[in-house]
Amino acid sequence: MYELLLYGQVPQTRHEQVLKVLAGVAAMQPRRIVKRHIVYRPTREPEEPGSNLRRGGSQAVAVKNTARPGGSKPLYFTHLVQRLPESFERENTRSTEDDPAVAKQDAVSESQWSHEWHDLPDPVDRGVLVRQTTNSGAIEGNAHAYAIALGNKFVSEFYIEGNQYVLGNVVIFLHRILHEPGVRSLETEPKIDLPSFSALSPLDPSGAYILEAKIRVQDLNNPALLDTGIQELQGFKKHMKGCVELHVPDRLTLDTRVKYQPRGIAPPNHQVAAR
Amino acid sequence: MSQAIQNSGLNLAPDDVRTLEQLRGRLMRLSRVIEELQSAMIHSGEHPPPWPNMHRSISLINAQLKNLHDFFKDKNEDDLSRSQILSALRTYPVAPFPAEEQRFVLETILRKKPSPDEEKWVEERLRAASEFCRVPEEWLLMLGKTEVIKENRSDYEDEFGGIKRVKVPMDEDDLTALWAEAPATAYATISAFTKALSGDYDDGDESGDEDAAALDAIRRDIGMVDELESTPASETGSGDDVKQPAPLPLGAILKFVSTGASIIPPGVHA
Repeated sequence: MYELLLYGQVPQTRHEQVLKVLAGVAAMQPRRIVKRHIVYRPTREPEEPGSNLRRGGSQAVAVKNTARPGGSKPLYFTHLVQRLPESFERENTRSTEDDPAVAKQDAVSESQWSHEWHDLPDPVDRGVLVRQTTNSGAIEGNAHAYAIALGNKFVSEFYIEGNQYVLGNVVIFLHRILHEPGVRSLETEPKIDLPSFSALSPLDPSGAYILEAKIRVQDLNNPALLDTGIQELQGFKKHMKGCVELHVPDRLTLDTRVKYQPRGIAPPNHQVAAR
Repeated sequence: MSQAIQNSGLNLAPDDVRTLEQLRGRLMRLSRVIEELQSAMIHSGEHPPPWPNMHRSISLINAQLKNLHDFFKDKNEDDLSRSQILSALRTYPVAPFPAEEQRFVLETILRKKPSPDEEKWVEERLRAASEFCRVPEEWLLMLGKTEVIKENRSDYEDEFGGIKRVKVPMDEDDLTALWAEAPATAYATISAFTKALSGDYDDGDESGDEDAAALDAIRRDIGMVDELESTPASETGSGDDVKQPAPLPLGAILKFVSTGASIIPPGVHA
């Protein structure tokens, strides 16, 4: 699966307005979405770039060049995404006598997980960002254990709250990133008990929202299909001009590859906080 | 050839002929520029022609009018201005002119005053002009409308907070004064704007609240300030006067989403 993407930013003061504008544009009510993202990285450290190439003296055997063709294969960060139920946001409205925490946790644990991977976006400038993604859903089981078993380790987790619209083939997602500012850097594994919604604060201290316009394309080998998608996305961009400026972000900001850390210098430990 | 015959019949001095020829040349040029503009306006359809073209035509017309004006003012070697020469000339039909058939042309040529339509047009423009600039008395006399101007300058009054406000049409002096002040005002606005943009906002303490409010207004207008709290009025309720930080760059957020790396605050990592 491939994604065509455009991004824009909406200041918090304009959020309500843009929400209404989008509802008018897409002719639908916003669909509330709250997601929990858990970021994993492979346990294995990436190889040094160029390490599969011959270097040093001429004694190296020529075969070594092709000995490990997959030697420089990049490693990627992956995400476990959990769609959180609406009750996650409304914990305060429940009556306390019924043990809300249990009911809430039930609802949360029932919600589905999916394992997501995004490639580094395509270097070709098409006016939109193009990247490959995979998304495999898990219906039951311990998603975290699954991710660990794949050879990953936990990095951090964050939450996304926002509203989604669909206009034609464009999926419009007006959202912002939430996290637990102090706790996040201390975690070594995903939380079993979710924090209350009110304990989360926006990653962006100004509370600005991000507008993501996305079209999913199954097959990139069909140029006509790709062009249609790009045109539709560009059309949406044009349509939103003056309301939200959509643009193509630097593709390297969406780099999901694990960076090589030279040996001798300890890789930054995400789990240790300097408080 | 026939022209030469007519000229001989008219007893024109060589100087007169030369003046008339020069005038004709200048008028031709003027009319050609005006026709050009007219055709451009007709062919451009719904919208006016592009502004640079319009501007070019207008400055050309202006130059031609200036040229004519200079021409009239110029004096020849006998110290007679051209306008004197021209006003001394009289048109009259000579014998070969077919007066019966070309009656209309003849009347147009011999007419000393503008036609009623044109007279009205000139009068309207003079009246409009006299509302805000000085029009020589003789022009109005020429029109036979002496009673036009002297309007009551205080036909609109109103008491507002003890201050009497009078609506006065601006006259030429007022306009001149206003335009003289304009550069300074524009400069002040621009410098306030750049100040607001560059964000040095706190160092102008002595400028007072009004200035700060103005800067805030500018910033809000251009969408630099995103927080409700930035409005001084709404700040009173919230209680905390912590300045809201600027939004994170989109790239930083996307980077966080992709890798989960802590980018903010920068000192989190060991």
